[in-house]
Amino acid sequence: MIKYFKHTLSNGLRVVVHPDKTTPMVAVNLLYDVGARDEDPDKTGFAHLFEHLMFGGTLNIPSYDTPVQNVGGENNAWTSNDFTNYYVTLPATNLETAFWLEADRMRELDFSDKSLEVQRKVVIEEFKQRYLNQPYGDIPLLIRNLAYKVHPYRWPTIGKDISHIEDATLNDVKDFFYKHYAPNNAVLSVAGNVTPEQVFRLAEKWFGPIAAQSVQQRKLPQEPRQTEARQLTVERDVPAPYIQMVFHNGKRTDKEFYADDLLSDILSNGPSARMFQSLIKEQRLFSDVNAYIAGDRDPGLFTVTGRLMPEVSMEKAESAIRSELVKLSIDGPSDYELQKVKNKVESNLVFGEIHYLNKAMNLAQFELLGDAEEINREPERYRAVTADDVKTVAQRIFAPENCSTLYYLPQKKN
Amino acid sequence: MAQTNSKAPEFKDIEKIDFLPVEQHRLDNQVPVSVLRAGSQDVTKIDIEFPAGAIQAGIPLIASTTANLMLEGTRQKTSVEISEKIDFLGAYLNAQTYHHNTVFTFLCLSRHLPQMLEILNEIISEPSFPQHEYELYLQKKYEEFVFEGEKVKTIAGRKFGETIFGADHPYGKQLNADHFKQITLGQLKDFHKNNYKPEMARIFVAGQPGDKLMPLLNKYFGHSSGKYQHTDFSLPNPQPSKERTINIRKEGAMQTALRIGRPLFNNHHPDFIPLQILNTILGGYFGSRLMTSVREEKGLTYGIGSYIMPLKQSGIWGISSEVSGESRDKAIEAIFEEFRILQTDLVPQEELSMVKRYMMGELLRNFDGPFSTADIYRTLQEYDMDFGFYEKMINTIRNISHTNIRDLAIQYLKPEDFRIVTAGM
Repeated sequence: MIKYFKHTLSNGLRVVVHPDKTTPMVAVNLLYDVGARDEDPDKTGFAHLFEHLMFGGTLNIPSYDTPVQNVGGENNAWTSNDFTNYYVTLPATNLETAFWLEADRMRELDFSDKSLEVQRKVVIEEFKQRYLNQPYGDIPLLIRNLAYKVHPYRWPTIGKDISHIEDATLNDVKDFFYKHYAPNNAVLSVAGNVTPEQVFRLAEKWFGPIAAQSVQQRKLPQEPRQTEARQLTVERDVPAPYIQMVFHNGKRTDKEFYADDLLSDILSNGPSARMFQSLIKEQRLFSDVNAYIAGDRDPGLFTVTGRLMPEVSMEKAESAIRSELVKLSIDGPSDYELQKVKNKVESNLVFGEIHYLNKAMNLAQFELLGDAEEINREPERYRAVTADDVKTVAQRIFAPENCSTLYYLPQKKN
Repeated sequence: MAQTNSKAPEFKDIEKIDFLPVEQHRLDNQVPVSVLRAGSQDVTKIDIEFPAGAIQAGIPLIASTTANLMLEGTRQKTSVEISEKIDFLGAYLNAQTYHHNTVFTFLCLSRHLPQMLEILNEIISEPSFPQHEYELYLQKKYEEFVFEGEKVKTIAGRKFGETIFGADHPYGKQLNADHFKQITLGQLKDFHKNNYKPEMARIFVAGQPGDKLMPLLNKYFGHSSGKYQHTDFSLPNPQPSKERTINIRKEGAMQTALRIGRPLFNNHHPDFIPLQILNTILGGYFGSRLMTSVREEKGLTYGIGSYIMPLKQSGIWGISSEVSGESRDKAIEAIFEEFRILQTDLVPQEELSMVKRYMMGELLRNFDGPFSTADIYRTLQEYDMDFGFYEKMINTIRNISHTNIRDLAIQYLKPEDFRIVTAGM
């Protein structure tokens, strides 16, 4: 049970506080309701590039990092298809510094060509380091483009193509800021050695004067139902063949989410999970397997992956995976198996309540999705899932026409 | 408009850091047990450490394979029975092999402690080393070895170890494909027999283990008649390679991995703590000189950092980054330029104060809660130290001056002491 307090400022900023007296620290987390799905198809990678620019300083405060470090703090940020999240952890006695900095850059940035030019280069190096210069690194680019035809989930947060980053102009950047960065488009959560009164007072003081903006209603094209299996084969300089299969699935706020999540756990969470035991240990077809769900705000993907052992044919590998999926769709999990993954979820939820930063991030996300109280309803929602529920979602998700398959093969050497 | 405020709010310096108290116990067989009792959740983490590291094994692959195979079957249970049981308890168990030891760690809800200790005891005292699990494990491990070897950072990292210490030095010796052919199951069984005797263990507990902890630990780990004296054997001196720069070409690479470094000493040396401060300024945090120059000003990389790693009988001072392929030489030049500046110009007071405050914040963060404190404590014990080391560090952080920093830079940042390894374009 996570105890929290909520307050909304008159400019629409939602504030959530979780006091945790066991730590001398505090986490201040600001979650903006903007992600890669809000990008123009010709200007992808923007939400993330913008996240980098948020550290470029403002007219008032030329450097964001220096004052944070100066009070013993540390900060970072991440961007996903749905969100952009900024966080600072610092000694609780220096809480106000984080409010000063976050409010300042919510109001306005010091947009400069120099800053844009450097961060463009940094992001291009990140693009190479994570996606292009890594064995199997470009899979997210390939698989999203195969599975989605119209929804903006068809590109990853880094962007569709390096050229979109290279071509970004200062005007694009400014437009993006004024469209999405506003108090009424964000949730501020604070967890650590603080009181709710203290946090609400500071929120009022620093964020209160920032004007609300008119934030456009999101009108994203929704992905039509996939009616035919899709397949793509590529060859790259990698040591072993790799298969990735993705299935269209529901969204984070669907009530089936919990059965979906347990379904992926049954397949691959922990060394006793089905895919690990059957595909790696018994049949010895793979050196690595995985199954996971996206938990996106719009309908996301259920992903199954495997790295093949040498001498194993792709056809054999694929049919072995499929037969695991079919088995679950026909028979469902056993009661013991379902209990096992529920136990794991239960302890993971407890482990997740240890760290204040983790709690701050989770509270902010649940609040943005609709209601912070959902964080405390999760254990019950997982407990309520039946073996039949898991079987039903497996049948729906693993339908053959709902699948996109990528064969990633080693280049033939001459 | 109100609140367009360029003036920072008041802040406080961190006055002191509270180290959690460590309970010291001994089992009936004299095995030491350290307990950090704290935390708001009924969760327990236990580390059991044995002197069963890569150095004791002598040949790469033996120590880690032994530890991992111990998890794959005992006299009473098969591999799948072990994993079913641990997964059913919602717990995590793994083995990690280091230079001088191997640590088995588990994390569980405290109410499952009796069952977790029972199974861990079986794993440590009665592993069965099944032939088919052995073959499977090695085959998987080999695939991983090949896969990792495709990454420029792995290629550079492997070569770097050899370059700094020498290819035959215990700290420099690297795993290669031949090791997978030479290893035998018999070697693993022998290594287990010699290096996992009950009296060799050291146990570290963190969290809220409840009041049954000591009887439980005694029941499973307190028996043995042998006596064990933890001893260190001495290693030869590092033999850094004669070549100062080694460039490895990887076809098709878009980035070049850089590893630049020198042998150093460990945390018993009087300059170790002051060098931590110099290292932080150089490349130890986001606002460091290297990040500012190579990333924020020149845009040559997504990230660059420097680190000091103590080893039982040595140490490394290293810099690592992945840089845009065509800018390799530019990046290297920029790095050595930062060495030069630190040797000639005094660090501005403002920067030094900021680094001091940042480091104090880091310490507060690292000593927050029982789990990370226990990790730090276990490492200190490996060097026969306790939290007094960090008291000393806090003092040094408070008192070090910019002239101390410059003198250290002159003494320890001589370019000729550093080796450069690159892999990529």
